Amino acid sequence: MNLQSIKNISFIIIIGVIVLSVVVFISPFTYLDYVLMYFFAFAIFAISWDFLYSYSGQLSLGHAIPFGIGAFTVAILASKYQLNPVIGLFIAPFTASLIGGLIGMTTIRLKPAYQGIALLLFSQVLYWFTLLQFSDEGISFGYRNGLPVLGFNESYFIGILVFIVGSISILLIEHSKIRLKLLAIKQDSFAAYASGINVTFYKIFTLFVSSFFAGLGGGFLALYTFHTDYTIFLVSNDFLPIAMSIVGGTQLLGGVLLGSLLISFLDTILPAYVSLAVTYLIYGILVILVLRIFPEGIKGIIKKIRVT
Amino acid sequence: MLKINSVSKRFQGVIALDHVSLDVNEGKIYGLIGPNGSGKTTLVNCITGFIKANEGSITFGQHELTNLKPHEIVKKGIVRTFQNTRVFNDLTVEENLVAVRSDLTGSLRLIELLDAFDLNSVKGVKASSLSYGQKKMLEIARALALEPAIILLDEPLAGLDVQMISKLSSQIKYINKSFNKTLLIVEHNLDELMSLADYVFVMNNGVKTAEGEPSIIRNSKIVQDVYFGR
Ligand SMILES: Nc1ncnc2c1ncn2[C@@H]1O[C@H](COP(=O)(O)OP(=O)(O)O)[C@@H](O)[C@H]1O
Ligand SMILES: [Mg+2]
Repeated sequence: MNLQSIKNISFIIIIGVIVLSVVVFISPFTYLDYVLMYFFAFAIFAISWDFLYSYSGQLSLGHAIPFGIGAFTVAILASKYQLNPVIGLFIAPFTASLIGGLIGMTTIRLKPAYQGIALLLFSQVLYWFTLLQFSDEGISFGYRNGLPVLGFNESYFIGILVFIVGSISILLIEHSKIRLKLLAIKQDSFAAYASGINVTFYKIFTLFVSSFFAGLGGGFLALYTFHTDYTIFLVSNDFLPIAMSIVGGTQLLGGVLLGSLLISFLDTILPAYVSLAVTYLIYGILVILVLRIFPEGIKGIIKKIRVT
Repeated sequence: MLKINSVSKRFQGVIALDHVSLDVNEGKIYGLIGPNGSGKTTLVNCITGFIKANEGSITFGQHELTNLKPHEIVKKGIVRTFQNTRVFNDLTVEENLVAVRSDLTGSLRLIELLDAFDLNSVKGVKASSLSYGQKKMLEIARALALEPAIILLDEPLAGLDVQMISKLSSQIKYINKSFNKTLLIVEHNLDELMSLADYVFVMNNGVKTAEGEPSIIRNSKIVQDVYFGR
C-alpha cells in the first residue's frame, strides 16, 4: 500500500463512521446511540495512543492519565465553577496535554517496556488520588434546576464533532512533513539521532499531542455521562486503547478506528450478559487470536482485500 | 579542521580512551585502525556526541563539540555510520533518505544519490529486504544526504565479500573526490586501507600509538609489534 492509499483508506473509514453515526442517530435503536457515544470517546483515545506508539515508538501503558485528566477537567469545571461542559471540553485537551506531557517527559529516556510500566504506575497514583480526593462517588454535574444543561441530541452532535476533529487532526499530523522522521525515530532512535533528527524534541512533541487528543476523548466521555470518577484511571482504561489498536492494526488510523468500533461494541454489550472479568478475558483472547492469525489486525485484512 | 585534544574515556574499570589526540584536515581519507577493543568505536562515539568524554576537548573549525548532542553535531557537519549497520528497516530506500532530509523529496539530488549508490532500482523496496551490502550502501548514502563535511564510517568493510569490499572502496574514493568529503574510516585490518587511506592513525588499548601514511605505518616497528602482535 502506498502512502496516499493508506491515507485514503483512513479517510474513507472516517467518512464511513460519520455516515454510520448519522444512520444510528435516525434509527429507532436507542441503545446503539449509547454504543456510538462510547465509541466516539474511545476511538479518539485509541488513535491518540496509536499515534504515540506507532509514530515515536513510545509505549504508554498508562494512557488513562491524559484521558482521565480530560474527563476530570470537564467535571471539575462544571461542578465547581458552573462552567458549561461544552466550554470545559475545549479546555480539557489542554490540561490533559500539559499534565500528560509533563508526566510523560519524565519517562522518555527509559526503554519502552520501562516507560510503559512507569506510566502505568503514574496512572494508578491518579487512581488512588482521585479516589481519596473525590471519594468513590466521583463528580456528577450537568443539571441546573433539575434540568440537564445539555440535551441528548446536542451531546450526540458534539460527539460526532469530537470524532471528526480528533480523527482528521491526527490523520493530518500522521501524514504531515514529519511523518518519516517520526517513523524513523520509532524504528531506530539511535540512527535517527545520528541522522540529525532531534529525537528528544519529537518524542516530547508526540507525548503532548497524543495527550491532547486523549484528553479530548476523556472530556467527551465525561460530558455525555455528566459524570466522572476514579474508575476512569482503572488499569482496564490503560489497556483498552492498546487492545483497540492491536485488533485494528497499529499505524493505520482507519484500522484502529475499526478496532475501536468493534471493542466499543463488545464493551457496551458484553457486561450485560457476562461479568467484567469474563469481558476482559474475552478481549485478552481476542487480542491473542488476532496476533496469532492476523498479526496486523484489521489492517492486515484490508491489505489482503486490496491485493486480491 | 577536526581536532581531538587529549580525550579520555573510562567505563567502570576499563580505560577505553587514554589521552587521545588527533587532527583531521579537509579533503583527505583517513584510516583509524587498531585491534578489537582498542577504542575506535568509543572515539567515534565521543566525536559524534553519543558519549561524553571524561577529559579533553573536541573542536571542529571554530565549534566546540564537546557538549553538543548528536543531532547538533550533525548540523555542524559531522555524520557517522554504525559498526552494525542501522537503516530504517520499515521505510523504503527512498524514504530512508527523505526521512533525514525532507527537502530531497522528488529532487534531482535524490536521484543522483540513489544512482551513485546503485539503489535506484530498489528505491521503493523496504530497507529490511535489502542485502547486507545494499544496507551498507544505503547507510552511507543517508549520511551523504545530510551534506556533511566529514563522514565517519565505523568498520564499513567488515563482513563484506572481496567483491563488495572493492566496490565499496571505490565508492568511498568517489565520495571523497566527487563530493569533496573528508572521510575517517575505522577498520581493524590495515591491509584493507593500504590503497584507500591517505593517512592512518593506529590505536591500541585506548592509546594512539602511531600515525602516518599507510606505507610508512605498514613498515613501522612499533606497529608491527603492538598492532600486529607478531
Ligand atoms: N558502553 C560501554 N560500557 C562499558 N565498556 C565499554 C563500552 N563501550 C566500549 N567499552 C569498552 O571499551 C573498550 C573499547 O571498545 P571499542 O571502542 O568498542 O573498541 P573497538 O571499536 O576498537 O573495537 C573495550 O574494552 C570495550 O569493552
Ligand atoms: Mg568498534
